[in-house]
Amino acid sequence: MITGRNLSIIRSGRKILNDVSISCPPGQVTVIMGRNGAGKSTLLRILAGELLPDTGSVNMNGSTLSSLSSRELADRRSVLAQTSHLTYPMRVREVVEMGCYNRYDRLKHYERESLIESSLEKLKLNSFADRFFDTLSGGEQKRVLLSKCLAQLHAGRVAGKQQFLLLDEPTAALDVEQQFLFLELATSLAQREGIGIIAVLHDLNLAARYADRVLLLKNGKKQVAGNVRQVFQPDVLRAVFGVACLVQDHPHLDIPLITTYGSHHQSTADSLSRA
Amino acid sequence: MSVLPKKHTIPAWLPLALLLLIAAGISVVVGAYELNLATLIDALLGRADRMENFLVWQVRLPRVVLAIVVGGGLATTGAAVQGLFRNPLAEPTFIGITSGAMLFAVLALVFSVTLFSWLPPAILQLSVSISAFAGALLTTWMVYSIANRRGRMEVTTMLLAGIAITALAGAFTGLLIYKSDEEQLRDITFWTLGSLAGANWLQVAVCAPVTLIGSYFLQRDALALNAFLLGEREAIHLGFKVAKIKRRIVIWTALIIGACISVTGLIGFVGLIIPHLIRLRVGTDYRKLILLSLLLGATFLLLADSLARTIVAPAELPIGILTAMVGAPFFIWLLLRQNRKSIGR
Amino acid sequence: MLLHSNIYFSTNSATLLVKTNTFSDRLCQLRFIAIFIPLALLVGCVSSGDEPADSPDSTVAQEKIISLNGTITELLYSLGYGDRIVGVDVTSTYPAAATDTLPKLGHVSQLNVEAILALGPNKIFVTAEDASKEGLQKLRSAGIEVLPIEVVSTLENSAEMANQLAAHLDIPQQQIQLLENAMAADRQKLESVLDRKVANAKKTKVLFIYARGTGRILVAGKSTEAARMIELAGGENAITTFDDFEAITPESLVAAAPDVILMFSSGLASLDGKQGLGQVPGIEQTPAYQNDNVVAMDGQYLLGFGPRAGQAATELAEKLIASNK
Repeated sequence: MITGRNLSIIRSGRKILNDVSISCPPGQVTVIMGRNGAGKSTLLRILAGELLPDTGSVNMNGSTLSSLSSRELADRRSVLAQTSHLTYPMRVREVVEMGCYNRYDRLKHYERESLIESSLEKLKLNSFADRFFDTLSGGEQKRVLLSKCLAQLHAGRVAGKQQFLLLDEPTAALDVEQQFLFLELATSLAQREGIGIIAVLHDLNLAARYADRVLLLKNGKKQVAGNVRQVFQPDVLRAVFGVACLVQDHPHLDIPLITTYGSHHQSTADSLSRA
Repeated sequence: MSVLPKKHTIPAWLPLALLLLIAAGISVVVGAYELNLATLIDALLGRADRMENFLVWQVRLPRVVLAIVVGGGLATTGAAVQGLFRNPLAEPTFIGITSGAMLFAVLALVFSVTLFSWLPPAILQLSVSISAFAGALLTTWMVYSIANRRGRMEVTTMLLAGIAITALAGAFTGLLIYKSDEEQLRDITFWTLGSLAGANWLQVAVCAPVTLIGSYFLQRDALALNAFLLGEREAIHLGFKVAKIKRRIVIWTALIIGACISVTGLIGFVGLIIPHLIRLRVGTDYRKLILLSLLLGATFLLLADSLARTIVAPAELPIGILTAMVGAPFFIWLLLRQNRKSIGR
Repeated sequence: MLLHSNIYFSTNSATLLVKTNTFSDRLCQLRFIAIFIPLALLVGCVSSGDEPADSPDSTVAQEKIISLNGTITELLYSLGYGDRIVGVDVTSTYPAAATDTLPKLGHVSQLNVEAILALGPNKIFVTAEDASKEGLQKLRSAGIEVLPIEVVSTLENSAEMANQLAAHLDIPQQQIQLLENAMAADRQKLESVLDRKVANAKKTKVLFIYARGTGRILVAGKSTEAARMIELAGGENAITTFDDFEAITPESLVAAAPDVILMFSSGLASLDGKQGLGQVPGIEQTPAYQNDNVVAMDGQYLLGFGPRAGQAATELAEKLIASNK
């Protein structure tokens, strides 16, 4: 379990994050949502141990993040960054291998090799192994980076220790099908291996489809947190995102189906004209 | 499934190490003073006449070894700095090292004769080297402390600070050049063109350990340098103590470059070109890049210096002229080739 | 500050910057060297074999000398030691016919130790102030005598230098005597020229301009060799406010108001002659330029303070007097 308590970040007098608490259980998908600038990525960076909060603390499996060394941290969580590009050309295999760097000395050469192969395998990347990373499409690159994250978690796995995968807007560069495939893959892997997933997402229906828990941020403050049905209420979504929407039951799946149909002001105008 | 063939792979360093050995062999054999092979071997064993022993042991060998050390040091640090800044055009110049060394070398060239003429000549000669070394470290420290805020070194700030400090040091250097007389100006010019003509064992004794130990430590950070290629945040995520590693790279780069150019003067292009060449042939992986740059840089400078001391013999060509004359066209060719390749893709 | 013959000039090339010491120059030198090393060695062998009777004793015949200063080279030739010289530096340009055939060893700051060893010298002459240069230390360790010679800017300099050389070379006293006599004659000639001047006439204000292309144009301050030579020739240095060479400014030119501008021929050539000189801001306004009193003389001749110093001073004095008319 990753638990953040009363997290605040203040930059030039402005509270980017204001007293936010969050808990992310292992084996589940926790989704952080909010408008641009609501503090989603900042929160994720704090949970990743990359940024120290000005107040509050993050706890991972009973130890505070700040007490963990960089290496211990890298054993327990890996991060799929929003954007990554390589300065110089490297092969896919070399990028995936970076996942093993944290355990480089402790893994034998053949162990690393098989770890790379299996991580490539999990994302169906074997045929890409010797291609250059920068020649791949955005979606392919994301898969390579996810494969690298999986290699990292696999290399750092210790029996009895929970692991987490943090995804910062993982679907940003992907086409619609890719978005589903990617999240499908990530969540199923996570559930199979008991990894806790924390993801920043923009798409309400993607969140509804894959999230176990959702936390909504507005102006750096936690607006609401809970399971999908608790959180995805029309008035809540309007308050957080400023959009008017319909929330229905999905005809085939046991999830809510959200249809956004206008800005907040638009919806007021609509209701006025109806009246 | 395509897996890189493993069975027949020769380690990538082997051909380069052989090349370096051959280059070293050539460098020991050629020279303005003609020695036949038998005499050369006798001299190496200390059995030739006094002059030939001296020539081989005090003139040629220290120069060959110094070329290897300096060439290796320049290329290695070039590779490391290009990784640190994630910039293919980065050179140690970027963190102010060169400008500081230059300013202080010029200070020494202009003032040592007047201010420290009471010093024994042996020490007076060292004053330029010592001063340049101090200057290299001082400006690097300045650039580093400007960029290092709240324990986090911002690479972009460092780049800008490096440019600013370089400009400042350049201005002071310009002032000194403006005030210098002809003889000093000529010494300054020679210094900026670099030369291994003064090579002696003392210089080797100073530069070799610094370069070798420094390269070893840079090599140890090869994985981190690989991770940097994906960005600093990625490196943090992968478990690297990024701030510490950056500091380490800067310190070793400053020490190696400071030591090397303080004895040779400025030698351009080695640090820029050699790592690129390796990248082109072998790939970006820093686990290989550092060592291979060391080997190829050493080979390159060794051959350049062999030319420098023979091509206009009995005079001496500043080696910086040669490295730039070979380096710049090669670099342009590389750029054009790369462009064509990326267009073709 | 002394400027004397440390200036990096050479006989034929007009552009004298270290940086612009062009590659073709080097190639020329290379060709020279390729041809003349064997030739010089041959000449050396022949001369040592054929003319033992000329030399005071046989050890001198084996003497191989390298001179790393133009004035020292010039003096060695005038003392009849030219045939013992096996290599010279880049400032050694006189006598041209002789020095052109010798291996040029570049500049004293940038010596090729190995190549010098290959020439097999046993004595290397340098100026006292160059004596601590890096490459020379190594040559000393190789067992070669590196001998510093004091060069000063006086008319009698070469006699003093000859005495210093005599301590290391077996120079017959009569040779030095000859030199001294020649110099005394030169001085007399100079004085007779100076006597021709009207007794209470104003001294001619002479501005020495040192140029290496338009990028670097300096004027000589009051403690330079150029000022010494100007005074010897009965003129007055136009700059009185600073000691050394300083960069030229239009104001300083106007303030100096020189009657004569004095330059090295190579320096004037580097500005593309008198027309080019006129392009330098402020030059056109000087009385010297307006009256076409621009004097150009060879660098080694004018400021080398070698055996020809008296002649140079006399020639300059005559030109200064001529400019007054």
